[in-house]
Amino acid sequence: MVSVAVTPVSVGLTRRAGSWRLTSALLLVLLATSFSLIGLIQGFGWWFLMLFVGSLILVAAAALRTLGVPRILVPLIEVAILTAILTVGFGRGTGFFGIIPTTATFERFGALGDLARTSIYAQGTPASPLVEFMFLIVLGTGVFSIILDTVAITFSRPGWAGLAIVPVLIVPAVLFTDGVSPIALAECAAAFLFLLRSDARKRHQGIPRLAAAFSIGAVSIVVALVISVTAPGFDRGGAASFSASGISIGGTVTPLIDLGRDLRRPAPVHVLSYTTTAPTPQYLKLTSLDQFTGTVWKHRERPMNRLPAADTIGSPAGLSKGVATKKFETTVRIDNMNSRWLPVPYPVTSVNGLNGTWAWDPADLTIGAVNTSTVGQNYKATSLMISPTATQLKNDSSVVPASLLADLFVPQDVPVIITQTALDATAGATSKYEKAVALQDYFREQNYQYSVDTPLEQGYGGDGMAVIATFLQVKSGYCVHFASAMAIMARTLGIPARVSIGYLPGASSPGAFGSSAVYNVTSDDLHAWPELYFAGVGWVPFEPTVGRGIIPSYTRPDSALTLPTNPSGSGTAPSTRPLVPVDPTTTSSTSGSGGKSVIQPVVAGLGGGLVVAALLLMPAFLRRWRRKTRLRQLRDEWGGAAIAWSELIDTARDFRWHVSDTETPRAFAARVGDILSDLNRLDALDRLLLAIERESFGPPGRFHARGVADDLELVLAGLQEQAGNIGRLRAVLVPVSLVPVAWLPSSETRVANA
Amino acid sequence: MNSYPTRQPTDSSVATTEDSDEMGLDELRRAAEGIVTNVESVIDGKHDAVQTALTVLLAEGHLLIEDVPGVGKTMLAKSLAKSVDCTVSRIQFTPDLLPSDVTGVSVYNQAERRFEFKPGAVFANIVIGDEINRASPKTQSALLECMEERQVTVDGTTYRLTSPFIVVATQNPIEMEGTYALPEAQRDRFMARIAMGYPDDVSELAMLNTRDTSSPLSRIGPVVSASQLRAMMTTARAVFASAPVKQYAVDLVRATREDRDLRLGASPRATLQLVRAAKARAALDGRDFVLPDDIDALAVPVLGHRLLPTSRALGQHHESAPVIEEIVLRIVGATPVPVGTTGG
Repeated sequence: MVSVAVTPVSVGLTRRAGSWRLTSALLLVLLATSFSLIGLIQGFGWWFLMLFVGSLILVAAAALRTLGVPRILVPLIEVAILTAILTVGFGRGTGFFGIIPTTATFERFGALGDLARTSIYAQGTPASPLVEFMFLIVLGTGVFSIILDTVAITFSRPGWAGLAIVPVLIVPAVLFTDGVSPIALAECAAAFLFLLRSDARKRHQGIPRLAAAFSIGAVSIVVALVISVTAPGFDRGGAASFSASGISIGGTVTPLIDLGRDLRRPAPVHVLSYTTTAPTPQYLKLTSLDQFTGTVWKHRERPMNRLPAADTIGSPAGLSKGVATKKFETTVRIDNMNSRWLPVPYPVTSVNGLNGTWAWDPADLTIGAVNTSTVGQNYKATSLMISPTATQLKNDSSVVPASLLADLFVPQDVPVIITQTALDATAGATSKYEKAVALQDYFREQNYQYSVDTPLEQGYGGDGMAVIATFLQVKSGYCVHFASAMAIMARTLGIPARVSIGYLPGASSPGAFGSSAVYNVTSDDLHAWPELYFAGVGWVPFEPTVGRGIIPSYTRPDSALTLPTNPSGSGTAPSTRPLVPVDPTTTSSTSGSGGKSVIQPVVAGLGGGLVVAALLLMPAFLRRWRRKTRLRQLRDEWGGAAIAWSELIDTARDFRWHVSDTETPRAFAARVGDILSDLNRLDALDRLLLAIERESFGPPGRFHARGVADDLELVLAGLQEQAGNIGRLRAVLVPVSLVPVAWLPSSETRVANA
Repeated sequence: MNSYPTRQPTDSSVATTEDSDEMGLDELRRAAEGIVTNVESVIDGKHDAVQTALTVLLAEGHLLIEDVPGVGKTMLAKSLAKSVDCTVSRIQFTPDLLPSDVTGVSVYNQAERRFEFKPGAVFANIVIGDEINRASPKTQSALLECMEERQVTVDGTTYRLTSPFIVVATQNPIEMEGTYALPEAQRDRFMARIAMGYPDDVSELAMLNTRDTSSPLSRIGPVVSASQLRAMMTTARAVFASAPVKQYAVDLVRATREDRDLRLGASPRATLQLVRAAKARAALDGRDFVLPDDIDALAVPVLGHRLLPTSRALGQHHESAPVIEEIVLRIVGATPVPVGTTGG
């Protein structure tokens, strides 16, 4: 009979198994957390790097514990491993033998950290995969993994490991305009839940702990749901969002800084495509920044009118009937942009085909999302093309209506250089119109340089007054500087002015939808320009930025032609742009391969290696999972000798025994018995054999084996002991038992079992 | 239905009154061990042969012992018969033996003026047929009919044979001179065929030392009664054979019919007897259920004598038995064993 009493199993074995189970749960947590960061950095090299470093540390720790290293030493060794990884990867050979860090190594780390700080400021999301970001990823992942491992396993407090997840989730919450994706959050919650469950099983504490785990999981899911309702943009983040690396604008209070970041992308990202019935390509306006605080231009929040489906929007402010207008339609498909403002040509009169709820601002005709975003929108906008004559503009009566007084606001302490430059530039001009044209000409003619990098290098990125003052001295900047400088100067001269942000017309390519040309707009086409108010005409755009955009015809009284001016060849002229439609996925995947990111091939190599390693380890995991499942089944109920026997046979096959399905249990047991030396194990084997024989061939219903799991573990231990190191390693890495016997060519036949 | 007195005097010291239907497995094992010890005190170093012979005995099958002269065939048969307290008859088959010598004959009783049946040698619990293949086919078949039907019909009257009825026959290999080969149909009636084989050096030496002076057979007596044997048989028959094991037996037998080295496979009767013998073997092992191992172990003795190899498989070999054994072992080795197919 099989033993009724439970044979005591070695406690150490169980504990070790528990440690591995927790480690795999931690690996899941790491994986889930990594999903929430998707979209921060372009490409997936960083992701592989993160998983590589994290799993290396966690698995190393588990291995150390299995080898019997004191638990308290493990975190220290983990720190040493992380330091070694950092030294190898980022020390540039400053360490002893490349892996032991020296003072120089730490100096280099510090430099990388400083560099990362500036780069974070300079780069929008998704950022280019720069060395300093990879450094941050490795460092952060390493620290995260060590904390997870130490808290969850060394101090046996897996619940507290949740606290380590929160800071990691804060990173995307801060950097993404719409916070952490609910999907990613749910994945983290699920992983955390799994961690708690693993712990519960390990301790065999049953219901209370499980209940706690489930309640935490439930709370996490509720939080995720709440966030998903409040935050727009469901489709980014999480494991499902591998293609997301789009432009996000308008979510923060400093859209112009975002704009600068996007302009500094190493490679442009495709944003949207449109066709238009207008004879000339059109600026697509997102919104107006009409509130100037002295440090920043903001969009003034006003009550908005809900956009009726397929209905018109109120007429633009200040437009009189005498001005020539012409309606045109623009069909836009947004491929890769997340904003709460809809890009449309100004002034828009109606929009059709939008999903979700939208509203429009009567003051500046901004169309804003109520509970949705621009992601994936496909719509047709009808707009007016306003063609005022210079005469009409000159007829401004000089009386600013009260509703526009806010658009004249200039702080008290406006730097002298701004007012003085404004006065100098417009000397001799009499009408508001002439002053405005003079301002535009001033920027275009006074040796101003277009550069997205200079302001940053000299520390005046942004759009505040101090920044503009510096800009006027240095005479180098990009659209934000030109636009806000002209707007402030116009205000000091008594002309209502605001800054508009949106997209340049982009480059045309042969039509993909409709017969007319398709314009492709990329992140490089992000633009800011000033709009000035003239009574009788309304808000009129100007183009002070050197080398960008199109100079409006009404600002050139002596020239009939409206030509796109693009002397610097920065990519807006249709002729210089590629005529191939831009595929957003290839754009994002090829981006960042510039000369700056030396680490990219290394990361790709590491990532590839990780994938290969994961594939190679897959059989081991599957085999292990199968054994766990079987043992659990055996412990859950009596009987199950067939399961135990399958496991025994599979283990033997893993150790490269020849096992054939023509061999009787007894014959196989005889072979196993030959290599077992321990009497306990032999007895266990006998009990197992009896159990399997009774269960398979005995009279039904009379027999239930007990303690099969313990007997099985005893026999398996014997098999392992006999196998030797190489055999054991081979059994773990290449478990042939995953392949059914029937699939293998059976060469030998069984000898008789007489 | 007539039952006839024995031709050999019965040792009345063994109780024959109890006629229990069944016997515990432990008791069966003890009794079987007694028989084995008894037999092995006469025959050295032939444990497997003795064990198989006992298995066949318990399965109430007929046993064919085939080997060259002088290796102890008759000794095994006799000692086995002597171990059981039951009627034993021995028929020495010769070419001039008549069927009526086996079955019995009706003779006219002058005094009572009527025919009277004089039972033949077959009216016994254990019939030892010595050198069965020396008799003419006619006589052979007379015996073999009795073996199958367990009854004798003479002059229109049917006489039932007593239970147990077991024939233990010996024969020389058919290649020897002066033999009439048993037809396939008649070989099929034997449950198993075993070969004695030559003893090893130690056993042969021991035999010289102990058996030189007196016949060892005279020293042994019965250790179980006929009723005990019947109870043992009942117990053995009650051993459980699970569906997978039966399927395994069927698979094995079918494989012999499909094997390319055999021109005659085993019959359905072979399947039946294979499982029955396996039950007896399980009972001897103290188990109340049959294992595939039992089937495996008995495949050669139970199936071997029923199979005919193709001439190609026979090749240069003089004797077919070793060739057939090889083929059967190959088939056994190639038939998958069902494990864990039934729930507990």
